[in-house]
Amino acid sequence: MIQNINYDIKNKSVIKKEILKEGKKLKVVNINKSFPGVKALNNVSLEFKSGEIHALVGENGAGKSTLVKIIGGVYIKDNGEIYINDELVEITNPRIASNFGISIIHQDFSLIPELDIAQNIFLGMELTNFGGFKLNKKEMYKRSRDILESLNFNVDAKTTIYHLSVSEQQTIEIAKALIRDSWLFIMDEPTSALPEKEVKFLFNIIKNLAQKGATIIYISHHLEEVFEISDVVTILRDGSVVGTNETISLDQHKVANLMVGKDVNVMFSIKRRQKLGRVVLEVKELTKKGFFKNISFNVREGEVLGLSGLLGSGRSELCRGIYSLDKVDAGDIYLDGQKARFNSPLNAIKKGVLYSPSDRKKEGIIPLMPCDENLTIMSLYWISFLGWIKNKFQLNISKDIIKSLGIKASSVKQKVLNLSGGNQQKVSIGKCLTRMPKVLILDNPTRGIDVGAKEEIYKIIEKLAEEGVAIIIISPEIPELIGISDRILTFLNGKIINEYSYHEVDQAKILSDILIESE
Amino acid sequence: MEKLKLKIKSNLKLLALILINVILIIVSSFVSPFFFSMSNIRNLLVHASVLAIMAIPMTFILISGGLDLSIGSNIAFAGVIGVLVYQFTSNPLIGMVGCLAAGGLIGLINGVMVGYLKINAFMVTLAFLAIARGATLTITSGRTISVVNKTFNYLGQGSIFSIPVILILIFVLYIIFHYVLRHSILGRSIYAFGGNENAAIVAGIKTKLMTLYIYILSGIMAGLCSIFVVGRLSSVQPWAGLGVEFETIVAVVLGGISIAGGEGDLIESLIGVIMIAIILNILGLLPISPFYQYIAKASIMIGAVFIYGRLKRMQE
Repeated sequence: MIQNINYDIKNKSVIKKEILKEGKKLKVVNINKSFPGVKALNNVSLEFKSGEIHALVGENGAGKSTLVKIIGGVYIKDNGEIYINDELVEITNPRIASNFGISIIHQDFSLIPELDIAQNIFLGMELTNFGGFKLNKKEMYKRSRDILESLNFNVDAKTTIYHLSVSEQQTIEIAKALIRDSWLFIMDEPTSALPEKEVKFLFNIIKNLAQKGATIIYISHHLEEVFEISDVVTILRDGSVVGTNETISLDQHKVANLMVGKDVNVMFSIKRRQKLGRVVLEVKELTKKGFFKNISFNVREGEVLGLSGLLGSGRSELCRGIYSLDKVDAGDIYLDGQKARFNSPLNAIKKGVLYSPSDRKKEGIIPLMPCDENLTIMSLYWISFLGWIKNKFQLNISKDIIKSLGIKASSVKQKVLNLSGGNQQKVSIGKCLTRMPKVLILDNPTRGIDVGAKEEIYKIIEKLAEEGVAIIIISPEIPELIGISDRILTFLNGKIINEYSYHEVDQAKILSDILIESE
Repeated sequence: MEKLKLKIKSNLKLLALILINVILIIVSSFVSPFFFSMSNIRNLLVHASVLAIMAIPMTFILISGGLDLSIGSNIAFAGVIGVLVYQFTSNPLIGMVGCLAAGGLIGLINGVMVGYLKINAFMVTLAFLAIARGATLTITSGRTISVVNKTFNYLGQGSIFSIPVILILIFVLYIIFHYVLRHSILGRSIYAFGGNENAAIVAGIKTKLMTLYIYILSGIMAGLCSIFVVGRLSSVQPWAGLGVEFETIVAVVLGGISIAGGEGDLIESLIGVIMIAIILNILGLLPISPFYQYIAKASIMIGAVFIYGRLKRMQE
């Protein structure tokens, strides 16, 4: 079974540097795992072959993460067997897993930003000369260069991690694992923090790695990605395997249906309003040096305006500028036809312009605070009298929002920390809705949440638009943006490239706008 | 019944703390027969007064994720300035206002530097620990100034129905500031800022102003303590308040306030204050050198931080 990994089939030539000692396969048989009150895995049996990219898909809570955590030694299985190359093994902690050559490529990195690539790759296992008194730098840099080269990653091993993009850092994580003789690479949502350009880069690295005989387990919410990269897809639902198929034999619709067990629209489409109201927010010639330049557009009552662009295209910075979270250099904002100067977020909030940030953990929620205090945090100025918060107000408002957004919390006093990702996201959006806003800016409102929760968020957006709120929404997922926007603006390098209304839009046009630079 | 269970579960830490206090009191009464004497308890409470007052702003500041090391020196500084104002005007009330204003001034400078200039709170307040003490020593040339005035003495020595005035004042302060922390915009801002600074800014919280307020509060409270200390000793001493910042942090941490910010409340801090006061009192009653107290305080702090850290990890 083991492929000769030193032999590249395509080029019919022997690869000079071996990066993988040998490929192995991993088999799990009848794995069970329960958490208090939940059966997380139910008789799961799967085989992960050498040279194969094996995607695990399923809704949040389907058991994907639990399974890979058991393989990685983070969790201990209740029962069942794990075989490496048909040999029974017991993996009881992450250290044992890594000794077996299993590595989880983390979302939050274990790299030290101030050190360079080679120093990071060899961190904790530095090569030495003279009985350990001197670092063997020459050898470490040489081996690092070799491994980077074999990964097709063209970079100087002396580059400081700090200067690398997220996908390049992930590649270094892979290199680090390779030097520790890993053959199984578990990638849990590796692209969730990546702009589109970098996804391509990472995919090439992963494909190259698989070609050389590595075994790869790939977890993602993005079906498009799964279809682009994987050889085999396993669908999990409620802790059980629904099916394992070759990727070519499936399509996105089928997978989505299997994931939730009932028919769903992969592309949600909200009800379009026939007539939009008057212009609520108008932006004229807004400029922030180095981020965006001369941006002009408007949004109407009840309109959903989608902003499409890669990370760094200026779309998020523009929204932060409008909300006055960041200072802008020039340009004007008109609210209801009148020139508005928001000199602080609070000022924007008071005038009815609210903003829900893209990174909920970093900026959206206060995890240690209970739901009600999180939900009213943007509304303190009007639920209080002379600086004192009216508790009854706070309670009623929170209850209303929890009910209308369907937030699943045991009580209004439950800490947001203990909610699921989707519910945390709803809290992050919900705090903008204590009063009907005039303009609601949502930066990536469906980031990292499951299909069901996404759909609920679309419904919330639909309802708000119906009630006349002007909504500006940013999303990296183009189908999603097409599904919910009345109008889409495309951004590249801090400029608006094009404007599409919903009936003239298509994915290819948007993609070429945001990806391809024209003179 | 279910509700009661939930309530007990969510207040487990508090109940445990109260239980430890009760055990401490029982043990103390066995260790020394003087413990339950009226004069000892009075002594214990009065001794804890400065700690109890300073624990209020220290709790606020720690929850916000900050730190104030300048309070001990500030007590001496505010006392000296207030007494000079009193000697100049011969009006004790104006003198007291001078104490509060001088303390508040140091707090204001701390607050501006931490909140607006974004200098690290540890550095700023460490600098003012030295500056305030240095200023005090310079002004007094290192000598004690005696102050004989009934009004000044009232706060430090007076009592109403044989309850020391200072204790009544502390009681009132705790009620007020407990409500400020739990039910005011300022209090909510403190939790938000300490819990997630970025999220607080995005939510439109006036974080700079909030920081300014709590450091000013800390300074004014130091001024209040200085009035009490001057009144109790009928003099102002340039080394007054030495180590108060340390004792306050020990007490507050013992009550379960996390240095990481975002959590805790005044009740916990008050329990911590009482606990440390009982421990120090019983050490004082024992026939051992008072110098051991320093070691005891520090050990207690490290122990508390360790245990709370463990408990937190266990919960997760």
